[in-house]
Amino acid sequence: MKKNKENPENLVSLFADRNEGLRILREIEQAEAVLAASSEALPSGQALKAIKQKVRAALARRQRRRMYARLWVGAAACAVIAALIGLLYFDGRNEKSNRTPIAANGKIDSVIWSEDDPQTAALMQEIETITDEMEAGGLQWGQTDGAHSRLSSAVDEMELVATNLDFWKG
Amino acid sequence: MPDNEDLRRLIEACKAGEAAAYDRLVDLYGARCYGYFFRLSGCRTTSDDLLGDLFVKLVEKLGTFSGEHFDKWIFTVASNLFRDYLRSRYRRQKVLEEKAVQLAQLQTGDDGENPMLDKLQEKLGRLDAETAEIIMLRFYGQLSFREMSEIRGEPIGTTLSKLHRGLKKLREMMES
Repeated sequence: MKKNKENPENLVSLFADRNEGLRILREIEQAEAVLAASSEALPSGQALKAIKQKVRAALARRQRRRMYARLWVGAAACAVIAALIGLLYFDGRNEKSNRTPIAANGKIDSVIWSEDDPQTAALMQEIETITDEMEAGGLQWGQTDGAHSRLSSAVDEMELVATNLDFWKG
Repeated sequence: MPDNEDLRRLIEACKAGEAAAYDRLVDLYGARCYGYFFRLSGCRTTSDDLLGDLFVKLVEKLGTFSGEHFDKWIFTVASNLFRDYLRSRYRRQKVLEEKAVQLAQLQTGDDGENPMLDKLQEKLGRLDAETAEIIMLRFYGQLSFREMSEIRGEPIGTTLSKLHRGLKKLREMMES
């Protein structure tokens, strides 16, 4: 049996006097010699071979796990980079689209509401004319039109005829 | 056993995933670790299984070995593995049954399928499990008292005292 580098005498002297310590050590050595003289317990060659195969399989599994881990990390890194590029690209586009409408809105507003614009003036004039004509025809905003009046008159007339002629009596 | 430098190189090769280095490690430590498992379990099949589990565990855990005392490290892993094995109630029961069968075979002089059973195995079976483990850690692990006390998480004086008492009792039984 390989002896380790520990100095047992020094160690035992911490717990017992010198003679007692030496006796303890002697008893330990004697018992260890009895153990060493006993039959060895050795694994069979077949068992060792099987264990080496198990170890090789475990190594292959570990290698596969590491490869998948590397692939996964690579894919994750690509996804992050793609996301960052996308973010930067769309952010840039948003900045542009935010700037352009402001300028355009200003232009449109000024074109529509400019009183000097001849097309707008003509349109406004036409709207006013139609409004006047409708008011002159007795049609007010929020009222029904003439068709309803005509229908009420016809109903009244039929009731009058029915009353006067008593045709329902036979 | 290789010297420290050779062992360091071998472990580095194992960490790099070289199968041949693991084969060499199995050759170097297989017998001692097997002896440790066999003397504690008393069962060849269990010891084969535990030895296989130990080296598969080494593949996973060797990266955590910091490079100080490999013997202490590997026997710490072996010790934990055996304790895990014992923790299973079913297995504990199985070990006890196997030991009872082996003792009965020894008493009748019939070793059956266990030619490795001997007087030492019988006497070890009569010690309590903790004492037997300390003795086997010392014998097969070739560990110092300090290393053993560190593995067991107890004061060095306690380990020394338990080992002394256990070995003395074992010797008396062997010589009786």
